[in-house]
Amino acid sequence: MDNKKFTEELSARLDISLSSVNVMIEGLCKEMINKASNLDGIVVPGFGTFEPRLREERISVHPASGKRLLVPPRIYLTFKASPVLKQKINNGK
Amino acid sequence: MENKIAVASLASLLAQSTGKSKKLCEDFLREFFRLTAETLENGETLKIKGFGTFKIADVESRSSVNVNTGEPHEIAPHKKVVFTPAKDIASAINAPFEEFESVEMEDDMPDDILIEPESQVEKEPEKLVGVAEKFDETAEKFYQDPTEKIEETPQLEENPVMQEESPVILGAIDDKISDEDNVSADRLEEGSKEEGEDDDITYEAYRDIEETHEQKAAMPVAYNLEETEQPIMHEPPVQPVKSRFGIGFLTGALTTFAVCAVIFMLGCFFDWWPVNFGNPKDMTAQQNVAVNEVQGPEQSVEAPATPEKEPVYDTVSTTRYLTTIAREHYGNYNFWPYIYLENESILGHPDRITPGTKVVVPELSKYGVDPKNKDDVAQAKKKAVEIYARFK
Repeated sequence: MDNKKFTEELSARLDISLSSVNVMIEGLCKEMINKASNLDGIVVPGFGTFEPRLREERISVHPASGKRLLVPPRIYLTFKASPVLKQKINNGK
Repeated sequence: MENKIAVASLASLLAQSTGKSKKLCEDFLREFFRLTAETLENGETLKIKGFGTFKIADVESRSSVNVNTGEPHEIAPHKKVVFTPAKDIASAINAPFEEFESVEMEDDMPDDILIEPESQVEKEPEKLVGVAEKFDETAEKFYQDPTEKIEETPQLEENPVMQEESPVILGAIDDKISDEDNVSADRLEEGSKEEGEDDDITYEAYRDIEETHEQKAAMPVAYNLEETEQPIMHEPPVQPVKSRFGIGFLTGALTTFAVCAVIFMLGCFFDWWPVNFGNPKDMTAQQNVAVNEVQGPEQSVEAPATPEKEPVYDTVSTTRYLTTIAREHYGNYNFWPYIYLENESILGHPDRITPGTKVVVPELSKYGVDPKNKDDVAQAKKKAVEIYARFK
C-alpha cells in the first residue's frame, strides 16, 4: 500500500479531509522527532514500540580499505512489534 | 529522558501542535496504527510519506537453545515487521551529531588513545612508581615545612596589614627558596659574626621591603615614613595580650638578628646595598631563607637532588632503568628523558638498553628544568612520548 492509498483510507475511516490527514501525519512525525531526540520511546498498545537507541561513537575498520574509522554517535529509531501484531502477521499467511 | 510515552499523551501533544481536538487526534492515532497493522497483516509493504516504511520480512528457521533448560530447539520460519524511518526523521533525530563525520585514524594510533601515554611509556612495575611518587611527596613536604615556619614569624611580630600580604610574599619565597638555599647559608655563616648593630634601622628596612614589594618602588626613605605611622595605628589590639607580645618580640628579635646579619654581609661583602633596595622581592626571599636557616635547617633533603659538578655516571641493569636512575638523582622518575637525551648517541630504544650500559646523568639545570616544577614535569613527560615516537 502506498502513501496515497493509506491517506485516502484514513480520511474515509475518520471522515475527515485528505489534507487534514496529511497535517496530522506531519504533526505525528514532528512529535516522533521530538520524542526520539530525547531518547523517549512511544508505546502503541497492540501495535508495537518505537524506541530510539543511542549508539556511541566507536572505532570500526573499513572493510575495503582496511583503514580504521572513528564513527560518530548516532541515534537509531527502532521499531519492535508487539506480540499481538507478531501473531497477526504470522497467522495471516 | 528515556521514558515510554503512551498513545494518550502522544495524542494530547499532537492536539497541541496541530490545533485539532484531542478526541480527533486520539481517533486518528488509533486508526493510523490499526490501518497499518491491517496492511501488514495482509503481508503488504506500507510506505508513509515523511514517517517511514513498514515491511514484512521473512525469517528463516534457525536452531537455538532454550535459555532455561539448555535444550536445543528449532525456531520455525516466521515473518517479522521491519520499520525503516524516513530520511527526514532519521536526519532530524541525529541533528545534534550532524557536524560529525567518520574520521580516518592513523595506523600507528593505538585503540586506547584515551589512556595516558605514561602507562605505555613506563616500563617499571607499578610498585616502583608508587614509591617514586611517595618520594616526591616527602620531598615536597620538606620544602614546605620551612615556609610554614616563616609564615609564623611575620604574623607574630607584624600587624594585620602584613598578614594579608604574607601569602604573596611566601609565593615569592617558594620560588626563590631552592635557588638561594645554599648561597644564603654560606653567607649567613660569615655574616652572623658581626650581627647586632643598629637593630632598629635594619628591622625597619626589612619590613619596608616586605611592605612594598608589590609596588616595586626604589625609595626606602619614603616608606620609612609610612611605616612609622602604621604600627601606631595597630598597636591597641596587640597591647592587652602581654605574653603574646613578648613572644612576638622574641621572634622579632631573632628575625632581626638574622636579617641584620644577611643585610650586613650583603652590604659589606658584595657592595649590593643600594642596588638591592631597588628589588625588594629578591631581598625578602633571601632574608627569609636566612631566617629559616637559623630556626630549622633542612639541608639533608637537598643532597640527592643537588647535582654535582663532575659528570655523574650510572649503570643500567636488569633492575635499574633510566627511570630508576632519574628517580634517584632527580627525585622524579619522569625526568628520565633528559638522561636519555644526554646519552642519545649510545642508546637505542629506551626499553631495550643493554644491561651494563654506563650512562651520563646530566644536571637538570643544563636543560633548565626543575623536578619540583609541575610544568617541567609535564614537559618531561612530553619528551618521553617524543622519544618513544621515534621508534614507531
